[in-house]
Amino acid sequence: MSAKKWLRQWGLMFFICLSIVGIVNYVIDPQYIFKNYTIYRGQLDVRFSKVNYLKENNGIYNSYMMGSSRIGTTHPSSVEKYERNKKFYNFWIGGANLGDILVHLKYFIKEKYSIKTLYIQVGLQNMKSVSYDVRAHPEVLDNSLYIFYIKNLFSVFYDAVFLKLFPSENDINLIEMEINNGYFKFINRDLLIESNKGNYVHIEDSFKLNNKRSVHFTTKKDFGIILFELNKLCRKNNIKLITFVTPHNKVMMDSYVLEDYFEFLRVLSKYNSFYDFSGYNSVTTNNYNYYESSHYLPKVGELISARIFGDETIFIPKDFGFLVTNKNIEGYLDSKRSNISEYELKK
Amino acid sequence: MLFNSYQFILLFLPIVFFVYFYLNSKRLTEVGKYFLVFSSLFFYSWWNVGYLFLIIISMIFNYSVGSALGRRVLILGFGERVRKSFLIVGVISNISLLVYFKYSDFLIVNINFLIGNNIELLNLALPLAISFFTFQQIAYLVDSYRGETTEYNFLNYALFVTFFPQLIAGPIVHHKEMMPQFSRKQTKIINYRNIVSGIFIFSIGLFKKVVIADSFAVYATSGFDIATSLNLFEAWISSLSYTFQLYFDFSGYTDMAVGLALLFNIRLPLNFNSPYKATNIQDFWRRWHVTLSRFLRDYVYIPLGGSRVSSYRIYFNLMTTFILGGIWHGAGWTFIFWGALHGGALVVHRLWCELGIRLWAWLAWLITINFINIAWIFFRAREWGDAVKVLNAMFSLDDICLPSSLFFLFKFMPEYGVKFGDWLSAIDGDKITVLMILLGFSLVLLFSNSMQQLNNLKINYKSSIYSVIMFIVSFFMINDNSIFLYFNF
Repeated sequence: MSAKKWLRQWGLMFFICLSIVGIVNYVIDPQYIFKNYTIYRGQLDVRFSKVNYLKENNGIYNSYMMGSSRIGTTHPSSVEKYERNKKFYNFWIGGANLGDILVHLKYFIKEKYSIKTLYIQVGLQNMKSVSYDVRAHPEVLDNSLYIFYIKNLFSVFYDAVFLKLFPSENDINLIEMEINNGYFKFINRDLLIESNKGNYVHIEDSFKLNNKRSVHFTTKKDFGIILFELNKLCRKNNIKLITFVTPHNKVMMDSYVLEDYFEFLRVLSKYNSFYDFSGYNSVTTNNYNYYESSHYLPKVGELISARIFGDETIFIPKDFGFLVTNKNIEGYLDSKRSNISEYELKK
Repeated sequence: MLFNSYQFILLFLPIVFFVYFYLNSKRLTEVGKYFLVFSSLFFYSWWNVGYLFLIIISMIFNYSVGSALGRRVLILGFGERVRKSFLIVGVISNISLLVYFKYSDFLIVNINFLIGNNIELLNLALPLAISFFTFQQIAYLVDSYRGETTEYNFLNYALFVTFFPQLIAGPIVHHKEMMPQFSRKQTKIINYRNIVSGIFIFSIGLFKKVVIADSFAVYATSGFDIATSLNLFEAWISSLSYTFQLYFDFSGYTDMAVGLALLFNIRLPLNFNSPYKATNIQDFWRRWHVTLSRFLRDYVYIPLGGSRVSSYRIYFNLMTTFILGGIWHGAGWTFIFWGALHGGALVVHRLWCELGIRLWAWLAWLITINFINIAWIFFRAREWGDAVKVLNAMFSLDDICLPSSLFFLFKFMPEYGVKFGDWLSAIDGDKITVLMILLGFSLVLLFSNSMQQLNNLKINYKSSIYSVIMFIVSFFMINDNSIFLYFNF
């Protein structure tokens, strides 16, 4: 075979494969990139989809809920009912930390989105990492949109293609997101909980994990810098900032080194007052409030907003949610210390 | 711009290739060279245009000093001492540049520690490829001083330093092996055989980087940077994953560089020759990053006296050479320690050889690969604490966890503190991880390496299909955020 023929054959095979993958990706659109949808189901690129949607529709909203997927199960109406004349969008993004939130807030401000209130959920995962996720929408990072499209056109997403063609009834983590309000549902988990709540809690493996306290607060310096910048941006742009710490399930709480966790809360209080729902309380120690050890049920999101906005018409356990400021932090941590000691003794 | 990026593969490379050969076909060979230098500088400045100035100034300086030394223009009538002074000034200037950008913060931290001062860090961004282009140009100065350079043309020199396939992470090339190739007539004509070879080896390199190295990277990153504690198996898998990641990453980059150079009818020197098949540490350094070893041998070890001195002096020379090799890789005590470990191992190997005892090949290999694997831990760890964390877990029997599926076979184990359950959770691993480690061993031990495959390449359907499969799989898995490990050095 001549070298020229080898090259022709090589080029032809490459072109054929490239075309097939490109066509499949464009037609099936496994990551929901190339067309607009109202309902997103399966493996979606949440960062891209939401930023893309808001590019066209940001005028509808003037307030945002931000955080990781944990805040994603809270419907915007849970907050809107307390903040009159404000239209919230649930801008949860998978695995988001404060760095992610800051990057997106900067983008919203740069694009002149109207922002009256920012309702931010801060998870303890920030103790380990606060750098933004590099998968953000290319325009948020000032990168080329064309390269992003090429990458998505010519990458192979086996699982996502399969899931979009054959949405599995058995996939327990299958989610569905409504793009016009941003929140998501666990379709199959909701069905299981509805049919037999007790059995669900019994069979869910993540509730049985036996974590060791090994997660340290390694991001202290960067965490402070991001909080400082976030507050500065909100003050400068007249944005009302509401911050709360996630009610992590007890199993997850068991993985944090206690003194580091207290230091995390201390640093947070230096920059702004916040509502703390973390620790061991009536909600976090009850698995019936959770899908698994990471995500809480929508009803917990309702309790959080009720506490923050002082709604006395809803029953909220007394030990769930406290306003923490830089003035009361040390006393608060002392009571938290004794509360945790008591909990660990009872365990 | 990365070799494993869409911008490079779909835009930069085709444009540079076709324009370069078009210019040559129109007999505009000098314009073609200017174009290649310009394209290489564009490729370099894609990361940070600010450092373009630095590399240009460095080239002008070294070319001026080198050609003066070689042509003996300025030296006439001044004698050997003046020539030597000239060389010393040239070498010190290059090293100063490297020290300023790469080692100043490391020095400040240590000075602060020693004298209890609080001098502020400079926090300089490391100019890409500075270690590579500095070494390459120091070699040029020394060769010029020795009268081993013959051609003095700034355009050719600029191409020798900036030629984009080898600019960022080597191989570290010699002036004398590149300049004649740039001047050859055949270099300026499209050679289909070389294009086939180039695409073939580039595809292998891309596959090694994108598919293999980046897969191992997940476990190495989890084990070294994310996990706060590791059990026995997690620690071994983390360290072995990095051992494989580094090899497939760097040798993959070299394969791509060799392939790209071949498209332009340039042959780059061999840089890897199945290093993990080595049965002793000396053998390893003849197979790993060959062009760096060559540089250290020719410009550090031999000038120090090499092996033609007393035994103690040889040991000193070996230690010095390898500690310098460690420092070259990075500004940190972990790199220095890694260099010292290898220097020490070479001394031990020398002493062992003097005893004349021979080991079984399999045992020699086992000792060598374990030493290399353990030494890489210091090379990889960001801090001492990370290295100690991995090492402690590798050699401690306090935390052993096995998969639950093995419980029925080893029911008695819990009595000895062995747990059953999530045995690889700290590194996000599972059964596939173990298979990958086995696959890693089989790839480095049982198969011919990419350069051997290139040398035995037959132009037929089989090689075409083999190459296109590797290229396509890699192309579809390209991750824009995955840079090559050696870009950091």
